[in-house]
Amino acid sequence: MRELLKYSLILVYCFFVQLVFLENVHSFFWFQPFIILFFLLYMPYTLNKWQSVLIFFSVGIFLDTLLNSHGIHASASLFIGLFRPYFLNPSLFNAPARGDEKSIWLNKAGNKFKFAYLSIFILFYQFWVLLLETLGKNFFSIFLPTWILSSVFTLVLILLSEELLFRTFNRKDS
Amino acid sequence: MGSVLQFIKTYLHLILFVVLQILSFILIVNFHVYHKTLFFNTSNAFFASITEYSNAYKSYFQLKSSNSQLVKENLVLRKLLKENYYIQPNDTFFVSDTLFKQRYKYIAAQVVGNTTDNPNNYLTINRGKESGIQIGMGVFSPLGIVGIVEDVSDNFALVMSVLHSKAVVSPKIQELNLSQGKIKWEERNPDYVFLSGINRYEKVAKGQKVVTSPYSTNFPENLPIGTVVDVKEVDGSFLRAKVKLSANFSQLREVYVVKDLFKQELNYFDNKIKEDNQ
Repeated sequence: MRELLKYSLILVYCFFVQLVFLENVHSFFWFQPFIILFFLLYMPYTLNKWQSVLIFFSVGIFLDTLLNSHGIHASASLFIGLFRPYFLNPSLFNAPARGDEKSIWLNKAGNKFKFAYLSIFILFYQFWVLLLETLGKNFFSIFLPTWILSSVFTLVLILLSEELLFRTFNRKDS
Repeated sequence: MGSVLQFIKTYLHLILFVVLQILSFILIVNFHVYHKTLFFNTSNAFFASITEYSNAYKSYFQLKSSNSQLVKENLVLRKLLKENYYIQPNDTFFVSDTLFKQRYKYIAAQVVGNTTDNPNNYLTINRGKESGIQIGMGVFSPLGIVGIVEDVSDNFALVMSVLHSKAVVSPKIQELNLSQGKIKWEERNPDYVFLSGINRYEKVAKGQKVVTSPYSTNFPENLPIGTVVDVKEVDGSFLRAKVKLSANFSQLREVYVVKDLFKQELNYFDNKIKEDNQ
């Protein structure tokens, strides 16, 4: 129940940040970060494959409704939902929790794994969304810089959000 | 049933993924104007190319029937050619109330046997006495003359090919309107014949078309024989021209047999000349 509440809060936070701040950033700058990846990538690794596909699609379609993007985020989230369980080997997270690892399961596998995992999925998500939106037009002049900048900014935002939210949960836990 | 359920259970996530991904693409295509236009343009082009390939595939298998239909149509058209009619000289007399009298008729046939690499080559066609074929009739393909009927059975005929050491054809050089000399096959090359017996003062040149002469007793005038590819002077007073045959003898299939309705009358005069010269 507590977990459900925690992820619900993260979801609300993601939608709020996306709609209030990031959509305005997108209007003024070239890049287009998606904080919803924070919710998707930090979902429990224990989700099985079909649950993962279904939940990720639902989140994507909900985001599409809010952003008027009609299916683009649903498609990108579905890919993440399908491939994420193959990437997460449960044996990596079996070690006993120390410190913040209690609430952030991802930290148990070490920083190297964490950055690889986050980077790959962020890059893929950003690439797919941009590709569906622009169909690859102006690849070198607009697509490529937007993709790289958006991915970097999303990664930074996710790490900041992790600090902000999970530390808060940790303090409450202790 | 159990194995189907097991399959669905195992691959539920993949099935869900495919179904939901299709749903996402349907949403994208339906709600984004640019994507919609692009999708329909691409799909139209795709299906158009598939239809084109399928039509080409179907028409390939209909080639045989199309070909025989064309042969029939060609036969009808050939019967209407001016060369098939003898012009009744109307300044002397009228025999009937028609100006033109038909001279040639054609019988379509298919080559069922053919040789090109012997010193004397023959063809066999699938028409014989029952179809009205007689010895001495000319045979030609849509590309050019082929030979002369040598022997006939009820259903087949043996044709002496132009590629025969004894085959002789009366030629005409179209550009010069010159009916002189004779065509013979001399080298054992199925693509070339030789035109000999032309006066050295005639302006025979490379590229000129050689057709059947009006004096030919086997063929109507102006049927293609070939094209001059080389001209040489021989014996000081004659020209000898190498002629590339129009007909491809190694790929003969559809041919026409010429029936000259005046042949009997012309033979009568030929025999008279021969008797006189003996």
